[in-house]
Amino acid sequence: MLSTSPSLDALVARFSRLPGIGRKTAQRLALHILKLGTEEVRAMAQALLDVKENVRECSICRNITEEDPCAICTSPKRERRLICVVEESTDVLAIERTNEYKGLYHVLGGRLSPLEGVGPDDLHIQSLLDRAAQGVEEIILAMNPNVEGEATTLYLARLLKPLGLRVTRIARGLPVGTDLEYADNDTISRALEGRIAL
Amino acid sequence: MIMLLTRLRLRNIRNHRYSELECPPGVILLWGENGAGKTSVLEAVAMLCTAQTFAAVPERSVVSRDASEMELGGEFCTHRGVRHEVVYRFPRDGGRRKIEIDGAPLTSAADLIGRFPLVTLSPDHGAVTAGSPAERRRFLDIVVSQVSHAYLLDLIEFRRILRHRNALLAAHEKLTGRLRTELEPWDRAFAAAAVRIVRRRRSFIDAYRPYFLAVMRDIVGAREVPEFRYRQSVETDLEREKAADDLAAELAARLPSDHARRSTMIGPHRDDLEMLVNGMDVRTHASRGQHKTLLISLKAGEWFFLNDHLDERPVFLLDDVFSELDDDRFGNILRLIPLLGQTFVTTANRTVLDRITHETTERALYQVEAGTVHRYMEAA
Ligand SMILES: [Zn+2]
Repeated sequence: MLSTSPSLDALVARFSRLPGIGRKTAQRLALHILKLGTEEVRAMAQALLDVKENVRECSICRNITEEDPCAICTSPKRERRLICVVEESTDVLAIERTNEYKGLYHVLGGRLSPLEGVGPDDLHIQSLLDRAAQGVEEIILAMNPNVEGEATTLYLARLLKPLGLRVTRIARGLPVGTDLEYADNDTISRALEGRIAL
Repeated sequence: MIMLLTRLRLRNIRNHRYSELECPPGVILLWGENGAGKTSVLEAVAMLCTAQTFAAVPERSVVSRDASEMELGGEFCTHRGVRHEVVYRFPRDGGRRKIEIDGAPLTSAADLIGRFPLVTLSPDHGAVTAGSPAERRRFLDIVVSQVSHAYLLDLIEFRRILRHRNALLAAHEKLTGRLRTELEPWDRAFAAAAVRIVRRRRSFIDAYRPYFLAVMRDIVGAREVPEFRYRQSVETDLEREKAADDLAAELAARLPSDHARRSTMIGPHRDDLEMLVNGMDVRTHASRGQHKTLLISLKAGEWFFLNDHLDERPVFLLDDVFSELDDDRFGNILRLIPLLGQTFVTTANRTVLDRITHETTERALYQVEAGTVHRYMEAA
């Protein structure tokens, strides 16, 4: 393919690196940007920069936030004796969507995966243990239903149980391979309701 | 009615630019010289039914050299008369295969396996009786996966857990308490999946044995008494409720040697299916003829087993298996074919062509020449 615009090529290459975007979609997106008005494109670029500048990790739960601590950690309406542990911030969004859960969260920032070189030190595990020692009654482990999520659940349960609190996992209501992020609200609600003691 | 593959399309597979076949019930005989492209037709059927080639070659290697993508199409008709169109695409360089059923893309190839059951017999399968344990495990896994989707999912999970475990072993230079702590969840997951897999393999073997023995008797009579038994790489009692805990403990006990080898030495991936004839291990004590008979009995037995345990009657692929057989065995297999439903047969041998023409009633004859397939006109 003979390219007539290195700038367009560069944009296509950028889009291609995004998750879930193939080369063809990247081309479509880039051509779409080309057709937008300059103001519109400027606004989009600004939105990208704003996200990078304003959004950070909550120092308590590691969820993404603009205020530190985040709105969930500081909310008086939240049940503070309950912490739900998830892999990513997107999982918090999925559970919040159901409006069922009233406790706090802890975002690990991934899951154990020796194949990808991810070990316990690469996750927010120590900060979870610190929080668990401060008046928490129950910790719900809500990892994704795959082998890595399962191993992470077992690993955390082993660390948490000696602390003398209730450790549960969400019910295996999620079909294998369906990440929390993509499960529908009813499925997530049922999985949270039917949690199992570890 | 029985399940049929009614129509087959091949594009850019090895030397086939484009070929299309109508597939009636009975025998579909593909006749042609070696290298003409007969086996590619069977490989296409195998990929459409099981999402893999039967000769255990990577799919990429069967895509025509000058083409960017291979595309196979199969039209199936179930025993209830429902039609399904399967499309299988494989790009030559690096990309992922794409499978569609009735226009809807499959997210995982595992969703295809077992829907259109298949049994394959090719000279490459000689290793099942004569080769390494891996060949026999592969045989087991392919059959059991077709009857049990849960088994297939366990197997996929288990392989991933094993790779994680071995990656952890490799990542730690020294055997420390820390390695033990990090391994523990993987060992428990490993043990749970392993116990389910081995239990299912064992119960499959018990259910399958009579089918195998019946075919063996039909082919060779009672003079050879075959037996097989499942051999675990570690003697743990699977009947115990705590079998998975036992296995996890065994893994922990053997950690020093696993760590030294950076590899997991016990588990379903190290087990074997031992085959004996008249009490002797066939790998060291069977003749060439006995190996052939065993293999045919294993595969025909597999067909009868699947036929009894699945809704659909399996398609049978026989790749160039007649040319090496003596007259008796050939005749015995020929008599089996009408029972076997739809059977695809390849041969380069004129005698085989003539005998199938004369001794079977439902059949379609195709001649394969340099990557093209056309109807073979029988002399009146
Ligand atoms: Zn927070």
